[in-house]
Amino acid sequence: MLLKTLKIGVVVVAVLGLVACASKKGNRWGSSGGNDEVGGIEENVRFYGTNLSPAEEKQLLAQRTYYFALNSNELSDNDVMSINAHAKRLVNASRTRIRVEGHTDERGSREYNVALAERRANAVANVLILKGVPQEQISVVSYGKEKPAVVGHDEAAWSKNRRAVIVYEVE
Amino acid sequence: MKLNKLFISILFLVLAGNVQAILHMEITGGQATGLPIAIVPFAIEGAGKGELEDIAKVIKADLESSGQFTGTPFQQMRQFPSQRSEVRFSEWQSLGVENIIIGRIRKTGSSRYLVNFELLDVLRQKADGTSQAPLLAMQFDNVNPQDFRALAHHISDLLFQKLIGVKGIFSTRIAYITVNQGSKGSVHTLEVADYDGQNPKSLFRSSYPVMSPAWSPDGKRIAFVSFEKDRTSINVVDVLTGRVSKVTQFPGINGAPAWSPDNHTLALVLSKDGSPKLYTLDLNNKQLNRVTQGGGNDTEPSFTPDGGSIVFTSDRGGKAQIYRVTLGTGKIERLTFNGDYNARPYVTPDGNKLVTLHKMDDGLFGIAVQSLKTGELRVITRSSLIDAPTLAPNGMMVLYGSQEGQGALNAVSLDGRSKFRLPSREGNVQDPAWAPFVRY
Repeated sequence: MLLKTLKIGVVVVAVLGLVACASKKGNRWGSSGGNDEVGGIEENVRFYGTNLSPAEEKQLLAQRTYYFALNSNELSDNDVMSINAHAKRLVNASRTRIRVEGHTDERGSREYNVALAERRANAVANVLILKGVPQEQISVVSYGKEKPAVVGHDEAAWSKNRRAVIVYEVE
Repeated sequence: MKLNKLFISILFLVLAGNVQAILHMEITGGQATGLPIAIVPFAIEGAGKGELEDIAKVIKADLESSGQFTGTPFQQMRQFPSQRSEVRFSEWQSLGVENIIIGRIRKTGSSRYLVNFELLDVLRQKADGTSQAPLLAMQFDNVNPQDFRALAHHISDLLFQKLIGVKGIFSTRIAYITVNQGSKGSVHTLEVADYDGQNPKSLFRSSYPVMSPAWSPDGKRIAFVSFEKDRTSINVVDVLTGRVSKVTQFPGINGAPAWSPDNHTLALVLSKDGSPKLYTLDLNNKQLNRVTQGGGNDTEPSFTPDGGSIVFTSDRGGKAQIYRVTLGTGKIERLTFNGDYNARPYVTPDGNKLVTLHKMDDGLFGIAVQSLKTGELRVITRSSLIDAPTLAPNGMMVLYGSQEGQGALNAVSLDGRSKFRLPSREGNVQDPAWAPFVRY
């Protein structure tokens, strides 16, 4: 139920983004005449990321590991919701320090994997920063493939190792 | 000599007390195609056979590991000459042997030995069946038995130079990282050993990852990356004293150190100003210069042998490919065009070839050798989990990590003909770096 509500919020924001984009570039869908759907959508925006019960927030904060597809540093909508919850917590606790770790699976060259994994860590850090968390509260470290969560030479292991992790250093 | 010994004892003091995983060389392919050579067990006077390192055995393993030679098995030998006059050339000819090495070890004092060897051409003898002058003959006096293994490697180098015309790598060393599961998580150790995995010594140990060892051109220092306390830093360890000094610790990535041939400049990767980019750091005056600009990941720098440019991995064009930046002008050119993944480049000492980690269309990784003149690419070995190739200082072998099974270091000759393997007895062994030639 929680996820469903939040998902709608995300979809709404996403649509808003597209509309905004479209209006800048001209009408992307080629329909003639103006449309006034924007007004209706804006009303829903205030629901985004809010209205979380303490239990729901706790659930989102419990997630600290975010998994990635091969060669990707794209976060899922659910991941962003969880990271937003961490952002809220960090904004409200300026002494709290976190570390964001980036990791890859074991394939490929070591140092290039460090570069790729930093993008994953930065993807998480950027959401936090976008949500107003001061940079001083976040340190980013890319481990590449040097710290696998799961040892194994198959996709089952690899998919668990392509990840970014939020670690609370000072709570 | 005295100084040398002093250094060895210092090294021993620094390194003593740690248990190392010894890697045992296994020759895994290719030796059947080499030049047939017989290394006759050296005759021993004044000492028991088991007391001394078997010099002939070490030489045979060295020469075979190169893929250039096929040693005659000891069991097939029908005579064991130690003097030229004793050699029955026709017998060796019938075994198909082209060259024979004979030698003698004589005790000359307490823990002191005289060692002789001769390299003879089996096919070029006088009409009366006696030998012509040896191709190579040498004598070493006052040899300590502890140095027999080193002497055997030295003789292998001399034989290789004489018969192949290229400097041998049998006296060189390698550095690598071992990973062992301890009671409090994994332990990473930077070790150095002889090229064949013998005489391992630990230089740096951490409960955090350690990676990317790189030897200085004089062989006296190793730069490496540490993640101590979850912060990356580039460090340099003095191989003789074991002293570690921190070189950089900027926010973000501090990685992929590589030495310039001038021995005092490091190329490295920092992400302090955005995406990972190449920098050079002068270790004398600590001056840091940014080398590459723009977006995308630039990493894995390696100097060309002339020191004038750096080859590196970059995904500035979307996929990981190899580029070269000329240091004077900043001019950048792309070098690889085959496939959509080429990484960890090295240029061979002659400047003619590029060695890379290459991903093939079937998803397997391979070590590729690409001509820098024609662009022609050849995959010399392939496997699902290859990484981190490193070049022997004579440019004839590539050593690389492989996570197959327990994890091992594998070597393959640049022509792809020969392979040997240094499996780990315990834990994992990875991320090798072949040391340069050094003159002590």
